[in-house]
Amino acid sequence: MTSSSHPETAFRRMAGRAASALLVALAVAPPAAWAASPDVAVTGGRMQVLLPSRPAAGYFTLENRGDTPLALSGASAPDCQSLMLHQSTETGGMARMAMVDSVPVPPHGSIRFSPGGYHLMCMQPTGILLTHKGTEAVTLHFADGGSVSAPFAIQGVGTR
Amino acid sequence: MTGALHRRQALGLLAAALPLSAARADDGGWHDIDVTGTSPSLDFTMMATPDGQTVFQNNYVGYVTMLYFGYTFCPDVCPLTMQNVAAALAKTGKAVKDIRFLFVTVDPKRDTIPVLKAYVGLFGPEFVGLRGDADQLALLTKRFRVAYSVTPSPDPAKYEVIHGSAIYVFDRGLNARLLVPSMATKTPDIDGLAADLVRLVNERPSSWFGWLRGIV
Repeated sequence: MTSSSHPETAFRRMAGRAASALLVALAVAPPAAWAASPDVAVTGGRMQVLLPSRPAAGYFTLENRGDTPLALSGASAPDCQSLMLHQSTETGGMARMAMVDSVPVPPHGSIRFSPGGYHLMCMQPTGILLTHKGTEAVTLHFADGGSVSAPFAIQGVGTR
Repeated sequence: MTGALHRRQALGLLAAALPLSAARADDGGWHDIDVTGTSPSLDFTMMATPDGQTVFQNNYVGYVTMLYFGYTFCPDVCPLTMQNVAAALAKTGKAVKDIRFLFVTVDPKRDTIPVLKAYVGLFGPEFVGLRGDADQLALLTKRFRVAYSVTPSPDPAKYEVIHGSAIYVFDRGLNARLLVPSMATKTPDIDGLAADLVRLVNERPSSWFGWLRGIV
């Protein structure tokens, strides 16, 4: 009467709790494959598509919410034959575009890929990109092996 | 004492006069850089969009014409430039029908007329693509001291093109009037370009009629 519960029930309950805890732990703590997933936020992602046979450009803002410096080292998307980090620069009235190997993202800092500066260059856009509608899942890769995916809004050239 | 004062007064006068003359020389109320009388007039022969017909400068008499050098594998700076120009054109009202933008490819090997047509067509009906042969392109770029370089590669990702970023603006008599340093900056002066274009369209036509008489 004084015993609050049957020992067997108590054991079951404990086992149940342990299982729940394990499930929670699995859900919260990323599995090994995600271990390097960085604490980042990608916002304002968009792909500007010009012509099927010509490169498209990707723009976004990447925020490093963690305490360690990150280096963005590459990108990929299902509808780009290749997706490279590029930078437009202008010196002495000359416009130049060059591939960059990596872009540092300081801890608690952010970088912006925007027209006239850093951009993703999508070679040979295909698929949904050519519809100028919807979103493209772009994955950003980091030098430490981590990566993050984000939807990029697909758009054509925006004029008047 | 009086000599020093005189000198100071003279310096003061000089200082007062300098900004005025400087303002007159490089301003004139224009938002872009006034190059009137210091840059050559428009002069070229090339194939043009939409059909590859041969055009030359006289096709643009009566238009305020912008001249820009780029290439269609350019996904960032060239579209940014032309989007901003299109935004300026949208603010020119009725004047827009008298304005043209000439996009001269510095990469004629890859930029065929059909590709150029599709590319410039993205930005509006005022945009014309021009494709010259090596000599025609060299003549035009040398005339305006536009530097460019094309480093071909079988890998399109490594095919490098460097090109001038300025836009030259010609009046209706084909005289070079303004230089727009770059429309591909973070703070392009779109309203300023629109105002300059409208002002050029509205200039009294005597000068270009005079020019027309000169060529007839």
